Amino acid sequence: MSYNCIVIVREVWDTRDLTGSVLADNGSIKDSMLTRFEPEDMNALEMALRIKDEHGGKVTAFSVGTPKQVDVLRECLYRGVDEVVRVDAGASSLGTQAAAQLLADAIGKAGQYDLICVGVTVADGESSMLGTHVAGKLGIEQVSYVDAIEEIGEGRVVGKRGIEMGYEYIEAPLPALLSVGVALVEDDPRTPRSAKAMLKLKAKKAEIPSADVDASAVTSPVSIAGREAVPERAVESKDVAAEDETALKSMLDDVLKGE
Amino acid sequence: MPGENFYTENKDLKFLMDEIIDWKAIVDLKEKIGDEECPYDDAEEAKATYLGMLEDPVGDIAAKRFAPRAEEVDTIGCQYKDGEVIFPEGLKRNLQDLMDAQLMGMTIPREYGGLQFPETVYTAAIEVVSQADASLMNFFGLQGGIAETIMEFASDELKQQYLPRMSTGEFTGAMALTEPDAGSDLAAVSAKADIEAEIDPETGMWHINGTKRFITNGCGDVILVLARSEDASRKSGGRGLSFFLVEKGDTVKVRRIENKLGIHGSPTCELYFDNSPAYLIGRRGMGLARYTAWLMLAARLAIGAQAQGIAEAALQESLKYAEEREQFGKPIRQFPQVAAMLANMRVYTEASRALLYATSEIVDLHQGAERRELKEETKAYGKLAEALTPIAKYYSTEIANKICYDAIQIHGGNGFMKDYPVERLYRDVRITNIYEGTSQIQVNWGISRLVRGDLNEYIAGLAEKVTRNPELKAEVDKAAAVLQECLAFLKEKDVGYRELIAPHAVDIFIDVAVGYLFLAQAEKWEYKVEVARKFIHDMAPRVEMNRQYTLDALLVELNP
Repeated sequence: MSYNCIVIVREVWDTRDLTGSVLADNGSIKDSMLTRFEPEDMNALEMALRIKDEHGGKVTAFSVGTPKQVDVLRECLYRGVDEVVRVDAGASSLGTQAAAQLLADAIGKAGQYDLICVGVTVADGESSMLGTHVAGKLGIEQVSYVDAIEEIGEGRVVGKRGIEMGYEYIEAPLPALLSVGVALVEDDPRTPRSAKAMLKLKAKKAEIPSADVDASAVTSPVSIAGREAVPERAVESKDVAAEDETALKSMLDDVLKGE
Repeated sequence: MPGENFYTENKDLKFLMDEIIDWKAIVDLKEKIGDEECPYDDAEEAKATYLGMLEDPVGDIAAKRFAPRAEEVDTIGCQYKDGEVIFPEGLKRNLQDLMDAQLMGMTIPREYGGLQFPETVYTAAIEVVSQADASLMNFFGLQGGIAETIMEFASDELKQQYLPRMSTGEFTGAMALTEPDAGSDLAAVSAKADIEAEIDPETGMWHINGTKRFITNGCGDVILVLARSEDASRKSGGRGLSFFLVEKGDTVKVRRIENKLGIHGSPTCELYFDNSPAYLIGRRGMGLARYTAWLMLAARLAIGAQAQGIAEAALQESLKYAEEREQFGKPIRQFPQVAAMLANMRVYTEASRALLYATSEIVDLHQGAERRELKEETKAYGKLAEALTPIAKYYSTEIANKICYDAIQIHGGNGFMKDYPVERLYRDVRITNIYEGTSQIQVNWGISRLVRGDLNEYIAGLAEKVTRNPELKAEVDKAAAVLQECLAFLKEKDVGYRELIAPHAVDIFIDVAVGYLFLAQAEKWEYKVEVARKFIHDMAPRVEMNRQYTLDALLVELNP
């Protein structure tokens, strides 16, 4: 039996190897900041694609944002999803509940589906509950922290998740939403798949369709009111000879005084 | 975070791709911008696509999947049982990943399901894959040369029959040239090719009998075979050899695989052709002079890139180890001799990379001009490609050997153990300056072309591109004058003398070329000024030494 899977993907700030302040003088995030495909959403995508590889069916990726913010959808096409849908958030940034409402509206209009996969934690926006809210608004079951699909069939899915000292298996009726954790349990280094070169060549100019949902109908009372960078700490280092007890004592005094 | 992407983390390679390669010139010749079939609107878009592909999938898959499996592939290696070659599990997964990432047809034309990328992109991809696992390159990196040979010289039917399946990776390739008594001297090839007239004289189908040895991936599906098709009494030596395509089947028997020092993930087979059906490629009697020579040029560039990838891996391992390993209370990288070794390793990794990609760029321009039927450009670039490719292969592979040697030295006793990857790199790199022509063969090719003056204009062109750092340029100019002095001297010498001093004279050429290439790079990246300064500082005594060896060689046979 084949399955229609949906994946919710997000483009987030690339916080690896950050040095210095990320804020510009006007308080906005610097233009030089790079973005990346949220790694756990990438795991969710891999999970959906593996279901398609094994059982057939279709994978559709959804993402909320302006065209510039959803390069991730093109990345999804490069990896083999069948369709992508951009959900326009309108002019303002959205809180998690509002984004979930828009996604639920768009998914509801996209036709029948069996499974929704989304990363459990995201690196920015603290919108980790997105999957939970989407499931709630769609009225379907949701399982968190799923590391792998153990079994799918006969109207149910069994997810596997790592717990202390072992694993547990959680069964849910379909359709269901799975929030996918950081680890795909595999002996071999099977990180999520890379892009497929031919698909990348063909899909580099593919149109990214928008969902027919009305962003203005969704109110978002939560917004970012401002940002403040943590002041950069100047650290002065001191060399103290191990045998110089006076210097060592003086250094300890400084540390204890908080200097 | 190191180890996430072998392309984006390689600053030097990325710099060459971003800033140095003249993509517009390549794209203008190799793509028909504006044509409905062409997927690019302009050269910029083509460049962005090429480099985007090097990042993902190539750099991504190499770091995240191939590199972590390299140790297992090396330890288990390929096995032989009952006529079959058995791949280690990690290699099977690597090949599946290459197929899934749709990378097996990088240079094959789009009409046959390939990506139709330039050689320069392919060279970079080979370097990146080899950094992760050098043995995997023998599947990924030889596929291109074999497919291109079919593309260039085989009939349309054969192209249709084989290229699409090579693009998907369903078929991998091998080239069967070497025989037990014909290694570097391929004109001695004896495998017979007899026309099978009684079956169907109309089809012109051939059958091959004989043994081939040291065949990389000889268990592959598409085997290009060099065999004697003409009566040796009428057409002897190379003139009697033709080129054939044989598909894997019951008549192609793998007799054994070699037990090798390195590249354990690449099976080296002895093949026995038992009346194997074979398609003639191109014209009879041109097997060695035209088709093998063409295939070997492509393969040599690929082996240069393989060595480059191993060198990069050895450099990265050494930098990491010298930072982590503490002796006498500090990291060993702080000790002057270790610091000097690390600096040298970096400079010479970048030096061989500079020459390798300058060469691949010329190969692209040559191929592009040929396809556009631009006669003069084809001739000019062809001459350069033929001269530069063996020299670049010689330099990359010799440098990579030296870098792996130093990498073990930096690791000390630990480097001698199998606990660290440098032990594998040291074994893997050793074949690179032997196969597809030993270094000695490469410099013989190089010196004959240098003496003929084939690279004079090229050197002058490199010098013209340098507009800054006059004091450094003056040093390279001096070396260029030494090169001309040596070449003038060699014109009066016989082939035996030229071949005797070939490594020395070719080394002078390399110092001059790399000196200019570094100075050109320095105009686009401040860091490269220091690299150029270090290289040029060190090359002066080397050039003088090589001048003396060239002008006054002493060949003795010592029999106590």
